[in-house]
Amino acid sequence: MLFVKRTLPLLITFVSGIIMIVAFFSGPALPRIKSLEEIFPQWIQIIMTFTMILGAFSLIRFNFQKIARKQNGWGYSIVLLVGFFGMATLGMVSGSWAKFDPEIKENSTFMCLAENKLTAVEVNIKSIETTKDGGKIITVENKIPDKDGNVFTRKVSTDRLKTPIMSKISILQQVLFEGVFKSAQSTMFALLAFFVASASFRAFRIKSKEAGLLMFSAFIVMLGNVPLGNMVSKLWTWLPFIGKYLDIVVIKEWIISYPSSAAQSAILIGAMLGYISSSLKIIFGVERSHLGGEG
Amino acid sequence: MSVLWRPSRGLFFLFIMALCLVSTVALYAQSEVMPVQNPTVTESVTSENSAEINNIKNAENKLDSKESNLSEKALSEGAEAMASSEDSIESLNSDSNKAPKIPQKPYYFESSRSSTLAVILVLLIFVAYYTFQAQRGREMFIRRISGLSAIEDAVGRATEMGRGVLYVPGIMDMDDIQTIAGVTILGHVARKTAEYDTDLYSPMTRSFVMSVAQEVVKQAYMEKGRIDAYRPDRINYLTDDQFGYVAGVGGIMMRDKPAACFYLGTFYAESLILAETGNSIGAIQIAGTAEPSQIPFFVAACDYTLIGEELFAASAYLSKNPREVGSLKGQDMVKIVIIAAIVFGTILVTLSKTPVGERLGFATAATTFMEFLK
Amino acid sequence: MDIFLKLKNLDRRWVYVFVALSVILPMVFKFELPIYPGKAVMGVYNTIDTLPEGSRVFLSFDFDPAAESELGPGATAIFVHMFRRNIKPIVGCNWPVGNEIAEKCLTEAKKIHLDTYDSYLNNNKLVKNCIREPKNGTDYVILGYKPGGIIHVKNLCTDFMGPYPQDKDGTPTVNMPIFKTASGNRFSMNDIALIISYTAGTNGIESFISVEGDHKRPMAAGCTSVNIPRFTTYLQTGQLVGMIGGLPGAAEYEKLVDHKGEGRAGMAPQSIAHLIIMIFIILGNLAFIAENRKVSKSKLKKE
Repeated sequence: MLFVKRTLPLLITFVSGIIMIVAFFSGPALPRIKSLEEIFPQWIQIIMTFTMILGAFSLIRFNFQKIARKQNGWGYSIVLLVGFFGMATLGMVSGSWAKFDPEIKENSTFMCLAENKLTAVEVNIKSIETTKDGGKIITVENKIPDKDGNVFTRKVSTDRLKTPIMSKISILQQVLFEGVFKSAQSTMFALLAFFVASASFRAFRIKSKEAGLLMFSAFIVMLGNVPLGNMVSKLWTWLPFIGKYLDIVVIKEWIISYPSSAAQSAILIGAMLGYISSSLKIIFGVERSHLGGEG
Repeated sequence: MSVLWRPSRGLFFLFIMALCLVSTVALYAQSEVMPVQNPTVTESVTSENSAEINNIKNAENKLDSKESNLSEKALSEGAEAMASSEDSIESLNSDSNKAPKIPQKPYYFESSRSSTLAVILVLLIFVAYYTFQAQRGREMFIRRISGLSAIEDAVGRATEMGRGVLYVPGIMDMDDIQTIAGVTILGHVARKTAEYDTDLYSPMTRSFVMSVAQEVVKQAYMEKGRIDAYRPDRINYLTDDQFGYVAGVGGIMMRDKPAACFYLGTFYAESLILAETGNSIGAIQIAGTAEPSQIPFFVAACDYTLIGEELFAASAYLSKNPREVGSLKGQDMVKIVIIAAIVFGTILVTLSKTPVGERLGFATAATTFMEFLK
Repeated sequence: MDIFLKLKNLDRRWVYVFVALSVILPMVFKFELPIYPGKAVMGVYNTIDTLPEGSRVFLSFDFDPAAESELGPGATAIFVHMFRRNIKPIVGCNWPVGNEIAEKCLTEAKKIHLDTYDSYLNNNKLVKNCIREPKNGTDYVILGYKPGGIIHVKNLCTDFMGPYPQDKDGTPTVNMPIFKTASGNRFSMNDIALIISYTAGTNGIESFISVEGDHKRPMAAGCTSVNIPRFTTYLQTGQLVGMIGGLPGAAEYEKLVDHKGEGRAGMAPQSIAHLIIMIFIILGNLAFIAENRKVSKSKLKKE
């Protein structure tokens, strides 16, 4: 058991790590080794895809348990499961149903999705052109003329032509994506504005000279980042002698380009050395506490 | 095989070198010289199309020059292509499947990456030396990292308050070293929660990390003889989506009100949302990341922050394992080498810009030094 | 001083209310602030402005809806500028939902271009062969999302048709006039005049910078405000020709292309929000000073 849990993972890590290092430094005269540099990351992607099943299974089990035990906040688990199964079903149906769709023939009727996939109109298939590589470009004509009596004709790709049921499923999926997913994401991101304000109100205290300097720089960068900085700079030009040198935007650019950039580079150099050192320690089995135990 | 697990008296490194050699030779033996897939190499070496060579050369010149930002050739090529007549579509179709050309002189070592190899080798030598020294019993000083020292106090506080501990090992997968560092520290935190019999919540953004973390925590509880208290359902997967995950963790925080929150790993825009939510429930918070853009947020909103490399030093700091402490010392030595290179380079370039320095050949020395670093 | 002491324990929800008002009120009562394009934005603008007509530019939409409000307006403004200069955008994405946002920005840019076409034509502000209504496959193309980040970018250095046999709508790319090359070779990064990545996190402009040795193309970035200090280093080293940083960067670009979009509209709320945050920091410090004084006074009394 110890072999499977400790020795085998360490061996796999060591061999893979060494192969990747050798592949990274090998030239084109060693094509098989060189190609591993691209093949290994592809393997990682495949493994990561399989772990999605693991995640989905864990998520469903955890939330079902929560509902069954009526734990604190079990109502949210219902919402989560409905969302999970709803979106998964819509995605799978709209993705795989194309195989069961009737063949697109001339003079047949289909629903044509708009470019944003939020609406669809009924169309007649006028003509089908087949490209050299087997792709199809389809010319369609709106079944219902517009208010001026004109019939709109255009070329579309096959993925936009659906049966009435499938067009509704695609539209529902798109509405949920645009209306729920995208909006929820933007909302979470927008929370940052509020949290930045409350965190700086609480934490930005001049406890030392350095903290004072930091706050002064922060004010300049905050002002210089918005047009307000330009206005303040204009006001300061009225100051005698030093006024013309107090351009907030110029000072802000200096702060970002030199002190801030230098500090960032220093942190990055340290972090990258830590990265390399940790990687080497993991490859050579010196660091193994991520496998459990003291290491 | 025990040599690999208990590396002592330098045999460890001999073993590694031998294996490196064996694997290289074994793989090399299998390989044969085949048409190269690397376009840059083939085209720059063998392409008969002089326009393309000029193009690349011009682009290179552009990169070297601060004054001219764009290669004229690079810019005009797109226009030339579009200006060419429609009849080239057919020829394009047939040409687009052409195999790349075979280089005349294939090489075995990617010399453009030699600087990376030099850094790795120097680091390896220093780390090996100091690890060896540490194993022989030489005392290595490791400065106090208050964020790591506070871990026990934070778990203790949560125990006293009868509330749980929340642990987030970043939002990236196991292929990120920061995540591995985060999971390593999770093992130490789990040992403390097992010891104090405190609830440990660790919602995950990647299912792979979840399974590794479950194993690490289980091992920690086993070590402390508290396997009965181990709850795998509390180390659960939420979602891969960044903000969906933050919403989920925020929900756990507001409902379960953990008294201690740990955020150690890779973080992006979610860092401040997590830290502020943690602050609003009055939790003691310890954060750590090597992402420079997120460090200020953690510093502002958390009680302790591990900055950059401190996150990677955590394992050595907490375990006090001489091998790991030795590797930290080796890392510091490389940092000194880098600092020396920066200072030397700065002085050299500054001198080369002065008329006297130029006459004394500092300009050539500076150029050579910069080329060497590249 | 008591009022400042009370401020120390101010409920954070008051801060939230003021921040919300500072954003909402300037949106309702609109006003404009003067915008002057900075060096970084001018770098991108001048580069695009000096590209020859018909050049193809690769734009990578490496962000998601969360960062759309910051990066979207800048992307739209660049599209408008490209259409006016008859430069052909080829859009790829390293983030899964990037192509949806790209499509939205492109649709908006086409509309702006169409609406302003005549006035620009009359004022001789358009290039000779400027196209009134850019067409998919000829004047622009959205290739869609491909996973792999840096590996995907590396593949593009050799060949576009391999990773992208079809565009995002399933149309084969091999026949598209936008991918024609003068030499007849397969289309690769060598045929691209400029790379622009709109970056919100990982797999953004740094993926392109990492393989700079392979493609050797000029690069520019659009980034969220929080990433500005990080990418400034690349501006200094000359690896980036320019940068559109956050919403202010977008506003500056909109000013350059003479369009009043979301970027410029967002400057008033952002300015006031910054001001409010600064006021709160000052208030927090006044509370801190008041508390310190109280503590030192009580110490003196005890002594």
